[in-house]
Amino acid sequence: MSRIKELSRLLASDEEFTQQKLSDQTGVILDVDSLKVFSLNPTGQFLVDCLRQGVTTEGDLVDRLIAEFDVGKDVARTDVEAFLGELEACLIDGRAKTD
Amino acid sequence: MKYEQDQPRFRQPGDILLFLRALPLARKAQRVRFAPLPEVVAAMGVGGGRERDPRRAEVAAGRACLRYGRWCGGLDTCLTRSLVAGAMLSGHHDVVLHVGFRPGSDEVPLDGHAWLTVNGEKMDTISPDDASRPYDGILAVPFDADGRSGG
Repeated sequence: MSRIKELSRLLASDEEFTQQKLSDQTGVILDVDSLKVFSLNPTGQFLVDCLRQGVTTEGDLVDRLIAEFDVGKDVARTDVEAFLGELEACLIDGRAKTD
Repeated sequence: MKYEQDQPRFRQPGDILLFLRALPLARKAQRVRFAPLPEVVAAMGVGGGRERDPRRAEVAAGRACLRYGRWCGGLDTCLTRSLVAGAMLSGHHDVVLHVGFRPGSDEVPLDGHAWLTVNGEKMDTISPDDASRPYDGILAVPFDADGRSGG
């Protein structure tokens, strides 16, 4: 399973991680087992929303980011790549180390 | 959040008894540092609770967690207090443990909190509701009436 599909599955299932958007458009991801908290800025929260809605390609994430925020394609691509790397480190790699 | 303030003095012998019942639960609640929250709730609830009055249970839980923190270096947080009070009440009420967050301040960007609902009503004198800045619940773990967590 690709990285982005695995992240999408983890975020959508609400079993291992729960996610909440806060009133200032930031967000929180909570690891139910360890109670580790990952905070999201508004851009990160937007990308998590996209993943939870089933977006499964980086290209789609980049397109949605450009449509939502005033940002160029190169910057959006770099941001999406960096965000997915951080999310993977938190949700997948972090868990593997503690299991 | 760590609570340093003293609890009110014991007012009647029953308060001491409640405190003594809550103290081992405060020790059990320390498992939250190592075990998944639903498992801790399940372990807390074994045997069911004995206290029927939510307010008395909350006060006893606060006292027990405060003392356990001071005497044994354990956690005294809204989460441990909620675990103890929830275990005390679980035999008599529908009790659910909630964890939530709200945007923080400049110093603390994220503000987390734990509280109980008892028969659907929020029980939270530790951090009374600020209507302008409510916590958004992210996790709800029920205590089963028979003392087991519903996960």
